[in-house]
Amino acid sequence: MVELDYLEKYLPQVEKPARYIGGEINSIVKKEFQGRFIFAFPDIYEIGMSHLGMQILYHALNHEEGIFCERVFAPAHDMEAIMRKNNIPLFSLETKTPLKEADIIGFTLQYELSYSNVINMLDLSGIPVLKDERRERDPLICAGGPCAYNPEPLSDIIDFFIIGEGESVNIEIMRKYIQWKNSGKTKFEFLELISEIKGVYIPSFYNEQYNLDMTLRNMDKLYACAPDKVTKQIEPDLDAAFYPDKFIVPFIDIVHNRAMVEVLRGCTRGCRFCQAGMIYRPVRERSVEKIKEITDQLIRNTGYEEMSLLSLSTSDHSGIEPLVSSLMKKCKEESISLSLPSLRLDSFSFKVLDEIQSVKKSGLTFAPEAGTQRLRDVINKNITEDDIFFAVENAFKLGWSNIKFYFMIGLPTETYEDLDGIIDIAEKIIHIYYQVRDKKNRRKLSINISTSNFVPKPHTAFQWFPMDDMNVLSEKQKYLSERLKKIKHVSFNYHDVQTSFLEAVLARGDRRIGKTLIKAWENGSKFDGWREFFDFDKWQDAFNETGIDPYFYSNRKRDYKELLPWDHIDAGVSKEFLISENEKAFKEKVTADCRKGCTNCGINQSFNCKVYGDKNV
Amino acid sequence: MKYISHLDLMSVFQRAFRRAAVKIAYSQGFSPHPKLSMAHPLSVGISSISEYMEIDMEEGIPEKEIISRLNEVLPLGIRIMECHKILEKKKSLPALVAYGSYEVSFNRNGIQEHQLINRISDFLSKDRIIVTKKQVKSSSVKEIDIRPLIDEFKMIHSDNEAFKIMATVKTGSNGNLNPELLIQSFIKESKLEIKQNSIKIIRIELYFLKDHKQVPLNQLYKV
Repeated sequence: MVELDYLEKYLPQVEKPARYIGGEINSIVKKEFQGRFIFAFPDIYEIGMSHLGMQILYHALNHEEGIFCERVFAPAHDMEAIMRKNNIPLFSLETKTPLKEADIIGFTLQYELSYSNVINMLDLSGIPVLKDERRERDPLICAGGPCAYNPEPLSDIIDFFIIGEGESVNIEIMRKYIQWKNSGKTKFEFLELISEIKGVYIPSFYNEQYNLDMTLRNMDKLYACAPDKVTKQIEPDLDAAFYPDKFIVPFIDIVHNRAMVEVLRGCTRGCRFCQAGMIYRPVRERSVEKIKEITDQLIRNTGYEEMSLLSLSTSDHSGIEPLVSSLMKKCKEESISLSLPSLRLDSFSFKVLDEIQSVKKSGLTFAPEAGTQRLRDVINKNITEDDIFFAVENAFKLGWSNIKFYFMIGLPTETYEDLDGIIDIAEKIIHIYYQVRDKKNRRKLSINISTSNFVPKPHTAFQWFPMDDMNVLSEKQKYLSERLKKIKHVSFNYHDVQTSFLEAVLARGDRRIGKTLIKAWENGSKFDGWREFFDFDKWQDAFNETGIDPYFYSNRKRDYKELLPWDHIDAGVSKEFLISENEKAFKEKVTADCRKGCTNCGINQSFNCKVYGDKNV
Repeated sequence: MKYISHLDLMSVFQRAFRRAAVKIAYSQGFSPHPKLSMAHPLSVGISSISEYMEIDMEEGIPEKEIISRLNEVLPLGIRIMECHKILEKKKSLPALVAYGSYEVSFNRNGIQEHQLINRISDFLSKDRIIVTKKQVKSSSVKEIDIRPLIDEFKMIHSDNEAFKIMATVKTGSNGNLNPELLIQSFIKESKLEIKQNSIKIIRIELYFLKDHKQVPLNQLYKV
């Protein structure tokens, strides 16, 4: 144990020492247990603690007798420097136990640019980074989360991946671990034992072969127990699935400091660029009754002043209107505020938003994603210009003056006409504003246009698509910037191109880029998702030093016939569906929301899909 | 708890009140705020054994019950010791606070007791003790004389390991001295080799003035 008294010598020297002390309300310390799991979030405390998945999985494990789950986050630079200088190993928040003494350490992979932090955290723990260099007594390292749907870039580091939803499977794995721990068997035998669990992927059980053109030829199974395809884990019924009745309440302010209820999982809309929309299928709702019950418990047990309903598209919940009405009443009684991110801005939403933000109107956010109807049809973002303008007009009438728009650039088939479409939208919005508002109320208007760079992701219809070249993206940003800055009331933000490029390389990388990752970390890369710390040169050096061509991964068009590095991971949506969606995209044909009729995405072949029929239909 | 800033501590309390179902009154207006105020903010890094807070309640709850309900839900390191009903509204706590006393301890690090006592007496015999203070907003540097803000500064304990100093300083809106600033100034003036990371500061008491005498705040509402 790292003694708190000892840490106290150093804590006053670091920014926000409360990041490292634990002891928050509803955090859990167990004295008796058979298995210790440490949940590792590869970013700083304020980001990790805002993550709903961490709260769910932490409490799900701790709910079980015999299993103890602790937390660890990436220490900030100042703390890391002190830890390295004074040989303080990375420790868990709950009991200050060095990570080296954990049974299993589980990293959550939310963002490709946090991979260097995974490596850095293992190193700070004194645990060999490469799985082959770890000994029998070292902890097992696993990883899950959305990026685990393409696990290969981290396969030199991680012992096993958990694909899909972790509420139940983490417990199953820990139970098996506890059995194994007392059996005197080897780590290899443990991996064999869990290889039969749905969703578990063990990279060392497979060997990859490449073609002369560098593409993947085969993933050879090395052991009979390894499945041909690893199918994701899901919680079939959200009402039956574990949901915490309490959240850890941090002492310091974090990014999203609030109680959260997940109202539904998955999305029926089928945007072609969206990975979440595919990997979280089938869509499952939590019942209104259950949501209300959870809300009551969370208010009572956390004391939070804000409650938030979360999902990919909250308006799609079939009981949203009665739910929100009832929650608004409840929250008013308790003097807490209700927040509803991810609402579609239809008339009901405005009624709700007007009420919950009746006095203080914070900003509204729209995500048309593309500037023209043609391009929105390509990406299957089923929102029309009329929808946007209706919403904007409504917002102006009700008193909002601060509106944000999200667009992507570099989308498949994009031309400068589509960029002009973004400028058009901005101009039309200003026009609407002047129509709706009289002179007195015009000064406060602020329209913020934000573009991100489209990064093709595995398991989506665009997984074969080459990303735009970096200079092409920069040109597009310049083009928009020059034109948008001339429009009064409009501000323009855009994402860093090099960051997106690296994200694209890692997102669709294979096993060979594992050594580049290590090299980049050796060159000093960490916190790559942070603009102030990201250093592209270090990565370029790493690509050169390891002989990896990053453009092969980011800017190459793949053939449908090509074996993709994540093809042995089964997210449930069929490749045929993705191919047909990709084809339809280039024909500018839309696919309707699958609540209007099954679109044959294939999810009902392996899972029970309640949206429209199941596999027996 | 000493690593929590004043603002964050206020959230800790607000949430604790909600968990304890002790309803505090909210201010009216654009963004309603709970009516709760601490007598004087505690700097990050300083512990305390006596803090004072004033709250407006929405409903009457017996004092004993407030104490037990809150202590059940407060994080380790914060305990409600006493609770008094304010029958007649006097000046608010922040307006009343005039002095604060702090216990400052640090490792001996080879310093002799008489040496420390002498340096303290040299320190206090100065007419002026000038410290430079960075202004938060303008980031300019300001010089202030802290001598008039020091009421008491004396060694109260020594053993083989450490020394303890008791410092009583002006606190509140009519003159305020941060004990950390005081100890840093003492280290600089005395040139004693005090190990920075061994320094621990505990707030012992806050006082208001009654007939020019310092009276602990907890005497305020005691009958």
